[in-house]
Amino acid sequence: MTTTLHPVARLMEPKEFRSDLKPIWCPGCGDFGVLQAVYRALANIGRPPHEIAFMSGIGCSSRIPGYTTAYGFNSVHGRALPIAQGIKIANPELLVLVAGGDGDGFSIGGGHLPHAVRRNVDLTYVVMDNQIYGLTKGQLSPTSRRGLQTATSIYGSLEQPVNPLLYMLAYGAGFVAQGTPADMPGLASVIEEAIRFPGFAFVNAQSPCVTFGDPEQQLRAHKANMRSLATLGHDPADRLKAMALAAEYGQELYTGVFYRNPEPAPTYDAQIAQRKAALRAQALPRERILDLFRKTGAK
Amino acid sequence: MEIEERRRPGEGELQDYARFAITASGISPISQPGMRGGNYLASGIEHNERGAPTASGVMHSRMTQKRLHKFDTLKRRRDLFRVFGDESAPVGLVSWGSCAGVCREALARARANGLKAKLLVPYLLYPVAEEVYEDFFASVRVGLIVEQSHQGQLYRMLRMFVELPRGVRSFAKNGANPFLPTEVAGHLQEAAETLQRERGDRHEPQE
Repeated sequence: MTTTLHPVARLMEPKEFRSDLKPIWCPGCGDFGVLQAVYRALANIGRPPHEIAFMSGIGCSSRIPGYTTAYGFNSVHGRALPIAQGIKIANPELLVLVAGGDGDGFSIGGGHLPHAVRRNVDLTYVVMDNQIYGLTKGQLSPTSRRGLQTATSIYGSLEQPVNPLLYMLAYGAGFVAQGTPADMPGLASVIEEAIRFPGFAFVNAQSPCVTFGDPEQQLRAHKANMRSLATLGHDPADRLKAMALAAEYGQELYTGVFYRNPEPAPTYDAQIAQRKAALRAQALPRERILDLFRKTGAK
Repeated sequence: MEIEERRRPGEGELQDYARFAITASGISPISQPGMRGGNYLASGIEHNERGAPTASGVMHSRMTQKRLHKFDTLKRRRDLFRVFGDESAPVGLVSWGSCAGVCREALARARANGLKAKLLVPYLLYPVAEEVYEDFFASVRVGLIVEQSHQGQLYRMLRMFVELPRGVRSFAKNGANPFLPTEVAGHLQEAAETLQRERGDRHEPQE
């Protein structure tokens, strides 16, 4: 496990992860809270910024890597997960974080999710779920509620929203949690736990868009409506119960850990390391890699 | 097989590191996650030398110039072009990819029939290495750009960057049926006969 307490980890300050770039988010944006939560989580983890690779797609939320001092990669819409997996596989010693929005992750990026989950590379995926495409000035997203009106959907959405929590649980993710900036310590805590979890970990951060989002789903509503799974007595080892709670997405705002696999599956990066060790005796120098594809006996 | 590594920052270059530093070659050394001091933001949006997103028109011009400047090194790579046939031939062919093999056969047939001709096969399509093409076409009066492209994209691209001799035409067709050496050789022969007639009309010496 490479993302639990690293041998040289030390307690760090959140400000050590703050870059000098000024966020372009609107005042009051939920993403500010997510960013603070990320700073806190990383400070507690104690890995230095140069050992952290922070990938994102496209959107307001995807600007987040640039506001940290980690290595950041603001990639292509919906494609952060494949890139992040590649980075982790190439260098398993890195702490790999992935961020994006609900559109980036559950629309254009949706096809990558099941494979990222089943591959189980050790990384943490934080989706800033604001139920809207905000950067492009307010279009319906996969998690927008039915009936939501926007400038480009003036008669309101006719579609049922997807359920990010249920998707990830159904795909088999070993760690699924949700938080909101309305509960900063709680959000920072689930992000930290997700980073510490050995394998693919998912955090749905309910992060309202103050400019184009649903006026009824802003932070004030979160504060009033959120319910902590821990105080409800939920056992995160119970996957079926987690799915039942996740099914209430959109009606209830549960915060905390829905599911944590008590017996985490081997990570892809660990399995690769084992396979490499087993095949080391037959390994060719990479300049001769084409020899693997030649017919036996041929030069 | 030789593996070429990207330029990495040396010891001193990780002090006050700028990932997109404007350098003489246009190429700036790239750090990788794990290198202390090499942290930067990689993004598709325009950025300054440190990688910070910017909407500055001045910076955009400087960065665009930096990126395009990298092509200059490529354009000097004459090892990415092969020339077959008679160096000073007045009849020239250009072809690439799988069509190049057909054109080599066609060239062999044409030369066996006494035609002085040559073929240029680029392995670098873009950036267009103008000097290589100018040197090739210096002796050429007539010829063909042979490609499996309905719209003759290579021909059109070369015309954007190179002064092609007036007698050089596009011989392009779509991908349904391959070129045959006999048809390419036939077109070459026609081009050569056209040149002969023109020279005769102008009372120029024949080759």
